[in-house]
Amino acid sequence: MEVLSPANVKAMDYQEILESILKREPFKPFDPVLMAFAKDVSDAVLSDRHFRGYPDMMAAAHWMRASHIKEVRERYESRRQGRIWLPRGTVVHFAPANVDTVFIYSWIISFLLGNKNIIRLSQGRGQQVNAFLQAVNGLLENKRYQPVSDRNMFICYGHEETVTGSLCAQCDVRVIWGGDETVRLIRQVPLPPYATEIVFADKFSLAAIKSKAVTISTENDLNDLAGKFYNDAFWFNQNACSSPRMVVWIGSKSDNERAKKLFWDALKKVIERNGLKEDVAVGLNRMLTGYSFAAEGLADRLSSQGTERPYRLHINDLSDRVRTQHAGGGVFLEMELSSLSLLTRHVTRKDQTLSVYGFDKDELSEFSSGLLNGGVNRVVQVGQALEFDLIWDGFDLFTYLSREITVK
Amino acid sequence: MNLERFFQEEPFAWGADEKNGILSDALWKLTEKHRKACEMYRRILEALPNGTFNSKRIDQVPTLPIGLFKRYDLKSVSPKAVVRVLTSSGTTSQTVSRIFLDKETSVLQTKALTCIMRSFIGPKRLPMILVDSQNVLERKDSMNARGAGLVGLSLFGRDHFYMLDESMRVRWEELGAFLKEHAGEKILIFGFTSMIWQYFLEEARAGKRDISVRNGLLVHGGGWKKLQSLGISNDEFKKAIRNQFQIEQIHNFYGMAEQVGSIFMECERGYLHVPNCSDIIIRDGRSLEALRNRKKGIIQVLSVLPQSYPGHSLLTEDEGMIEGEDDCRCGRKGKYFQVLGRLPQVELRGCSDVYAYGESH
Repeated sequence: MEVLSPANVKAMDYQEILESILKREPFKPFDPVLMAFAKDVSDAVLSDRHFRGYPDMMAAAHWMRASHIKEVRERYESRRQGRIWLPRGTVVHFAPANVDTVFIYSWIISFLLGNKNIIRLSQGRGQQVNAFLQAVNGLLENKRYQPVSDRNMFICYGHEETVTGSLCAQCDVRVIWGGDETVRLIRQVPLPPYATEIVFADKFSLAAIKSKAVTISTENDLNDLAGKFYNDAFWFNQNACSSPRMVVWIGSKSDNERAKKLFWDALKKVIERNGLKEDVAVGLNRMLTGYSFAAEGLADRLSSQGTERPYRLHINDLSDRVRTQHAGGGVFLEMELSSLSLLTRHVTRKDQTLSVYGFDKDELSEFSSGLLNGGVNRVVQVGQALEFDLIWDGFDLFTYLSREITVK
Repeated sequence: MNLERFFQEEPFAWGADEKNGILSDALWKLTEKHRKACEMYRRILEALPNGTFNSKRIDQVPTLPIGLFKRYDLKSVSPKAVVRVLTSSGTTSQTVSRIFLDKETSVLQTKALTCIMRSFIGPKRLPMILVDSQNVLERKDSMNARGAGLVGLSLFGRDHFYMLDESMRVRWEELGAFLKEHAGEKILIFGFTSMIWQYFLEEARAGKRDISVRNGLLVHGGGWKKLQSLGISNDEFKKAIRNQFQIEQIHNFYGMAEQVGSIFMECERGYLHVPNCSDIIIRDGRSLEALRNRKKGIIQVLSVLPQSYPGHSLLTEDEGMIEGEDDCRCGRKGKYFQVLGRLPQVELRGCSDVYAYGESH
């Protein structure tokens, strides 16, 4: 057991810290201290050169900057519509191992709503997470933030059930970021009867591109599209739940073929321009994934005999096996459909984000209202796949992390 | 498939001009054979761009990533024809390859191995010490690479002596008696590199055992990963063995469960040699283009032996470098090369992937 924040406490004290957090009263939503702290964290990260190499961290800090927090607050107020919303109390967050920055969003939203937070971080977290916690700890030394320090704790431990048990036994909300296995394990640990839970299980995300829009786009538009898609897919090496692992081409046969060529060539150039490095083994793994898909009969065409990046696998059916066999690292599944509405029959509850390009509002809302079989919770423009939203996986975090008091 | 001509001559007799045509012909025939007989292999070939291969060049023979054999049971014969399932030793990863051998392939493997070994140890069977425990050999129908190596190599010896007991301790007394009995004779010693290091050499050093095997001929291979992690090179290994046991003749070999038989033996000059029945190509890690000699890259191994499974052309996860062709000073023809180690592995799922990504920035 390691207490990562607040600093200067011994590991064995975690029980004591937990007890003292539980005893304290939560903040009021958007208390000035909370707003000021979020702003200071954002400033600390954005002004520290060390974080420049971590675009995901920079994006999180950008999300937390004062002007955006103000927007978040406005959204909160407009949703609240004068009703009384208070924090639920103590929220325990189990952060994912594969996407280092998700815990920041999970925490900051809960934090701004006034909740007390205990965040369990992965043992495999990246260096930038430690650097981030260092920045947080630095701010917490300020006397002004003592109340924040008294109500938030970051810890790291193996998956000891007793620890998980004691964290869960007294919390008001439990937030679990997947994989499915983690969700299954943690779910076996009981919660108090009054507690609620938000679960983010393994997800698959994809992009749908209107081929015609690509074929008629200018070179600038095309480069812009490829650049945005690159960010969506490669920031987390396709391991974020919302990073696209598949592209569905919507259009006529000839448009689809032309669009593919234009798009993938443009993406290749972006990859080259960004000088994205990888271990040789990652490339070989891409090849192994491709050959495995072909061997199983899941893919009928591979874009390369070797380790090409992007590596494209052509499929005709989006099965669950296809979803689970995908291992990230620059592999893209590819399929063509003649219209967007046909995609509804391929999606399942495993599917989270659909990034789109070239469709108008009506097409998108028509498609979205047809999503009755449980799949796809977000439809966003290409380039916004990783943008954290206050409604995630279909959960409105404002309402899930608040309790409403009805006064009549 | 009739492969007799591969075994009629010395295994290192063919120069490039002579070899390439014959080998390419056999490898392309194998590609066709497996395409027809192995459903998964056929699907892979059909999915590749330019799925119809018109080329006759060896470097164009489709090649499977070796990891595929850990995921799937790839075979080109009916289950009834399988006489043995070979598994990789799997010391460093939990999943092992499963290789299905029919009678024909099994016979070819023995033939090839015999040809190659004779070139190094002569035609006569020698008294033989195996640096291993006999327990490894208990099951006949399924066998790991270690067992297969022991069985394969034991053909070249007689009066076999397994020098380790079941708990991998040296049977020092019996070893002494064996050496006494065969004093003055040439003795063949065989074992896996890491086991020789750990269970024989280090034990002898620790116990200050003065064992001298001046007439010994040591053949060792496999399991380099462990020594690599200890930072011990082939040269250092040789030196240490010479110092401790006075064994002069030491031959490393490079081989794998996925291509048993057509192994690459280290010559007197310290290079691994490609026999008539196989080939290696060094490829660039990213583009997979075939590289020129003396360029470092990933090793692709080709062999005419695999008849019962589509393993005649494999992309390994090892790095190597071809030193030259047909002109090694040991006198053998064919390519000669070095293995430089294993590619650093990346676990693709979960956090470590993000790690690699983060750290490369």
